[in-house]
Amino acid sequence: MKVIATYSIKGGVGKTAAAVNLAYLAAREGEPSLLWDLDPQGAATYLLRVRPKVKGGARAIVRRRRSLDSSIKATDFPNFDLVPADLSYRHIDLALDRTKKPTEQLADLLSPLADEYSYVFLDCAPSMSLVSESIFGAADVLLVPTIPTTLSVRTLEQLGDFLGNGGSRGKKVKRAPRVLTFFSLADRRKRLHRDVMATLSARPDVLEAAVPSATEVEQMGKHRAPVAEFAPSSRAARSYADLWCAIRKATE
Amino acid sequence: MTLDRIYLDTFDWRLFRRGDALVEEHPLSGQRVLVLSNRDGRHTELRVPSTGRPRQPTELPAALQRRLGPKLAPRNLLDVGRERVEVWPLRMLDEDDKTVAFIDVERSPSAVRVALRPVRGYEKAADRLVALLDSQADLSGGSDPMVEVIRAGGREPGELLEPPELRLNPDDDGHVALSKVFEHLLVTMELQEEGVRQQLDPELLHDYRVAVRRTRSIEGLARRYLPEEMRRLWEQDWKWLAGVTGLPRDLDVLLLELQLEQPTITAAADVGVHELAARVSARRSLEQAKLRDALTGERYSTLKRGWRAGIADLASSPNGITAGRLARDTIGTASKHLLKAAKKIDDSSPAEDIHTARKRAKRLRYAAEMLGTALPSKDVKSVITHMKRLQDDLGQFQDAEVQLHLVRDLLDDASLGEPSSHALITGDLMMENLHARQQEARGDLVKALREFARS
Repeated sequence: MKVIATYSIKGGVGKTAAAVNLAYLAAREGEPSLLWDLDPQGAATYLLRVRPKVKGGARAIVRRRRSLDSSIKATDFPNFDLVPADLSYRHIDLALDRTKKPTEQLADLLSPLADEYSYVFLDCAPSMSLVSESIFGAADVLLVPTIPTTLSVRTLEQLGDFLGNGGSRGKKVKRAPRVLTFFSLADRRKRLHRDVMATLSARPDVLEAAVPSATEVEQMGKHRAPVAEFAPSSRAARSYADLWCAIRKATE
Repeated sequence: MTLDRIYLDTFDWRLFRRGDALVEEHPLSGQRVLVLSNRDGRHTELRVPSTGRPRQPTELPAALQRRLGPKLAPRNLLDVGRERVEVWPLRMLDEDDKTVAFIDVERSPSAVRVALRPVRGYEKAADRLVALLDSQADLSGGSDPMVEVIRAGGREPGELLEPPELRLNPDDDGHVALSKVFEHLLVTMELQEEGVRQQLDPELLHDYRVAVRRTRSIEGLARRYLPEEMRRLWEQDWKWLAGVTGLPRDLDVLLLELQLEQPTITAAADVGVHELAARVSARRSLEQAKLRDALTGERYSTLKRGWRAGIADLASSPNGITAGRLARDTIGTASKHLLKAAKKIDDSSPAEDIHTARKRAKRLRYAAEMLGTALPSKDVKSVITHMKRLQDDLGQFQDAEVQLHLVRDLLDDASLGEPSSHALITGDLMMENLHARQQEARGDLVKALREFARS
């Protein structure tokens, strides 16, 4: 089982769209995939038409009063399951903080699912918090969507520093995830985007596949489905397919 | 939507027995898929695009291979039943238009089914739907479609091709007992025969060959009790049959070894492993064709007809000694033969002597397992257990010996083309491994044979 977290300190960079589309593509290839919507806003949950409700909330799961398995809902797509978001995830930091090893909790919760799923995607809220550190402890790959602008590059560097310095507690992360970056909401008509992409593309952690700023991605909210379901031959669908190909290869 | 549904399982029903169904769904137009589901609740576990009909667990798509491979290997995947159905797929939706249950209305040549498939996390919705359908429609609880389809094909799912249990009465006449043993073995062979001809699974040839070997062993051990004509007429034909089944079985074992033990050879030799496996497969096809010809030929049918007539004559001509006495005599003789061979074995014995000891251990085991059913089980149980252990050690040695010769022979076989350097390296590595295994087995078997000689 490979755990891939779509993560960024910034909001609105395409984390949820990437998580939903990539999990869908993995599942479509026949690989059982689970998406855990950790963002209390529940955008991924909404896109997959599931109600944002987890019985007992975040606390019940973190405290093992309910198994993660019991919260899983099948989506409308074969081999693609979801752990929905819940408003109580706003306080998941507090629940984690009351455990002995908070940064190891997510990995621990996911481990019983290892035989069942080939991929677990974690859709994370934009923050740098204890949840983030628990995500770093669970993820094999931290997939960072980056809008090709100067500020986004700075954010990417901040993330690198954060991971390098051992997170907010200054403790070295036991098993640091591999960081992979892709350009999101990329608009090649803009010179700044082109320049930033050209500069960063030499870095080994930057994937060549980029997701454009496209109407189809925005329309996911209207169709409540991954792009390939309602616009299979669109540029956005092809971009996600290329991105999935690159990630699959990188995680092999 | 019209689709062909092909149920897949191993000949020994490994999936059915686990409560699973693996089905290849082949729509008349559209993508083929392999569907793994749990037969109890028809809960779909995996739905994987298929690129072609998998014959072996190693040919399954990656996700299914991870899930099922270790449970199925080294068996082949067989087509155990098929049906063409017309399907009207329906879904039950909630207020968000999310599917909460699947309802498939299906029409097959034999029935119209309404199949309800619950969706994970929405089981209550499925329960409500069942209650609704029960109250409104005149439906009767259906049986498992997999079972229906397999039965329609004339087979019983889960049923193994085994002859009735052999049990001899100690007071039976010795000839009657021998006729029962020979008939049991002949039926065993006949049950596997078609599967061997069609090459459904290597295990069927193994079982077939064991029945042939057992027949020859019992015939050899009990020869003084058998009519001279029965031996004279058929002994050479049994030897011939053992010969034509030998090489295909050895090649099956070598191929399985290459498929299963590949990681022990080293990953770098992958290309060589594939080439060597291709050489084994090519030779195996030839040998299997010869075997198929043999099993459809006149010599084989004459042997079976004549042997069965001999069995009938044997049963109707009592020889005066009881089955119990015959069993003790035969097991005693086999034991003496093994002891003689065992005493010859030491750390430097040639492979032929070890092979002789192995054959004699087998003969003793077969006699104890078959004729020994006329004796109290406590009298033969320890012999069988001892022989199984001994045979494991001897088998390890002898299998390695056979494979060593085969690998060498296959690499030298010019009719298969010049082997590449990769294949030669893999062959060398494999032979090294086999040598090492043989040396290890030699120590164990010398010890085991000494223990036997002492006991």
